[in-house]
Amino acid sequence: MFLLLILISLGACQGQTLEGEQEVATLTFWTFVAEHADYYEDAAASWNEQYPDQQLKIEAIVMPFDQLYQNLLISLQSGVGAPDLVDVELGQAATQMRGSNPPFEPLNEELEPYLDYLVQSRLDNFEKNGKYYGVDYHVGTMVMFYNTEILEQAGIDYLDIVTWDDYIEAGKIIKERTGAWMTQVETTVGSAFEAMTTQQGVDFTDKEGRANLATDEGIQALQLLQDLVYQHEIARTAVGTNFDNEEFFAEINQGNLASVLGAAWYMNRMVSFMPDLSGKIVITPMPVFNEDNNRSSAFGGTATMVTNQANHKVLAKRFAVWSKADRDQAIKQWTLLGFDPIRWDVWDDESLKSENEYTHYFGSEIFETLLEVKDEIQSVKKSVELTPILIDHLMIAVLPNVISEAHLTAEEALKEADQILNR
Amino acid sequence: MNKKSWNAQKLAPYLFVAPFIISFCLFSIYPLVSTFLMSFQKIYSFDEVYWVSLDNFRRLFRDQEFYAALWNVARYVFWTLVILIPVPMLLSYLINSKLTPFKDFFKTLYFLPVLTSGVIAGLVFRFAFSSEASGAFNRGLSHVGIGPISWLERPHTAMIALVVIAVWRWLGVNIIYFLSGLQGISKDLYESAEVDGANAWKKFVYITVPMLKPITIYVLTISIMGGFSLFNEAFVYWGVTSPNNIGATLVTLIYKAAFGLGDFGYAAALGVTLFLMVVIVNTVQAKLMGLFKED
Repeated sequence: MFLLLILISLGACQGQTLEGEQEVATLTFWTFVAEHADYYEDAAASWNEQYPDQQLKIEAIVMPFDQLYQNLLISLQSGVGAPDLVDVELGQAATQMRGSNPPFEPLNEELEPYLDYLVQSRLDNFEKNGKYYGVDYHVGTMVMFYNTEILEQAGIDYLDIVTWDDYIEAGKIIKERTGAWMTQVETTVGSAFEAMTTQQGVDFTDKEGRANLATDEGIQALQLLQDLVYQHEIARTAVGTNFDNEEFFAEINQGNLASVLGAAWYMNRMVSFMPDLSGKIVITPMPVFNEDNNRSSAFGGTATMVTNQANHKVLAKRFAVWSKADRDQAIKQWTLLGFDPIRWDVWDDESLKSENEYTHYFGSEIFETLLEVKDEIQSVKKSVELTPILIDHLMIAVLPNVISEAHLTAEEALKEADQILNR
Repeated sequence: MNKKSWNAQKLAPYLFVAPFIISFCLFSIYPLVSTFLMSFQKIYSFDEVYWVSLDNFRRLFRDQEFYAALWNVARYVFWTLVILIPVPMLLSYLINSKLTPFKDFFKTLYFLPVLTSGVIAGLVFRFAFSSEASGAFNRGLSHVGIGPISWLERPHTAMIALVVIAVWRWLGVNIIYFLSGLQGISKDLYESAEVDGANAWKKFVYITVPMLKPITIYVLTISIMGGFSLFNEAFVYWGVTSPNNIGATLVTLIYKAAFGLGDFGYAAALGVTLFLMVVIVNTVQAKLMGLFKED
């Protein structure tokens, strides 16, 4: 009996180490995008090559968006069951990072050596009380994707489209001559509204964190979107209600619309889901309302964070930062994911011009376009406490009443929104 | 210790009910009290909790979404009562009647929907209610010349979508309840009524309906509770965000506050409010139907 006990306890001790003397740390990673999981498995392999004495293994779990963030919230609140690493999407940041002590590990120390090279606004998105909690996958530069085949058919040169008025005129010609929509407007995501507002140098909230949607610029942006659908009739509400689902991919693939306003990461979706259009899509800066405007914006973003329940915290933090901010890793954000890297110093690196599936699809000048607008990127501040409620209100009351149906003008809807949100 | 008063015989009953009492206290009483307390707090995490007394409730009473949800739920309860009490009652009477062949077939047919998964059924109905012309209901309506309807985007059609799935699902259950109630009605009553010259309809109205009162009260009570706690179908149709809150229910609001916004205090306040409303409504209803009087 006694012998048995000894044997069992010895057996229990064995579980810690594997073959050889090296202990391989396993890091669990939750994400909602399969390609991100692939990116991290690749990153782990590269890390192990570079740091053989700090081997690690990634256990990635891909979950649907809603499920991921509900599970994450509960596991972080209850103190049990959270992963080591997790992708936190920008819209979720305010919720997941609630309170004065977010349940994530600050990465300031690890970020120190890289700070000069990283796009600051992307770090600020996930900053709280002076601590940086995550590094993004990309910058999220907003650009216009044009289907050159449809444009040629209608006799339009995309280089002639500089202002939104040019865009509308072109759209009317395209609709008339080819029957295709100029674009489609999302009703469950506010990316176009955000981009078109921030390009004019304005935000959704004011310095005190109160809602300030009904600015002249904001109203102009939203009204334009409504007019595209109801006045000029060159756009319809997006099939599938937003751009990131199979129904909409099919719409583009079938050539039902001539242009899409999207973030640079949408190239990833095009390459994966819209093969028919390879070589037929060109990206350009956004049209503008007037000369002072930025020709781009930044939308969306997902940072990989280390939870406060992580095992191997030191390793996890170092790896989390290295996997994005290291120069070669940043280059991979382009070569593997088709994202615009978070390190601006690699943007004119030779390797970004070399052939990959993205240059094959979009041509090799893509990065020149992105470089062109790199200083014209401003995004909506999403770390304000009001943000989740504000975005919720846009989804519930503004987009349905202005875009899905034309019940209200942009001005009416946004003024009402401010009133309700600031009550 | 006096051995006589403290023996296994006396202890046994307490031991037998202990598991239930313990789990009841742990899983029902404790959460109830805890939620009640949380409704007076602002909660960021386990370590960061602030007492805010009635702030959550003040916010609740000013919240447009709360009233939208309340209105949706009230209408839903109304329609499900109007349809899901008289119709099953009548159907069960018909199924029970001597003239109906294949009784078991009908009972099974009506009960089958109850056995389906609520989520799967909800998803199927969501596709059926698609706004595109190819959706099942739109295709059906196109045969009678009614254009494609944006079912899940407008308030009235949204309510129809919710009620349709509720009726499809719960008709069978209520039929079974009423059927069992019918078994308890003595045949003599019917016979003596026939002797007095009553036709089928009169028998139904003057014998069946009154004798089914206890069952009706029960069905009414659970229907009201079920209506107030509507979540499943609304969630499958819209999630927690519906255009102009046409699909907002009290429970989807709780879900959104807790798991969408991480505001557990507000969610608790919503929960407490829902609880009080249901208790009040059910008490009023029970008093009106004479539940507390001696029979």
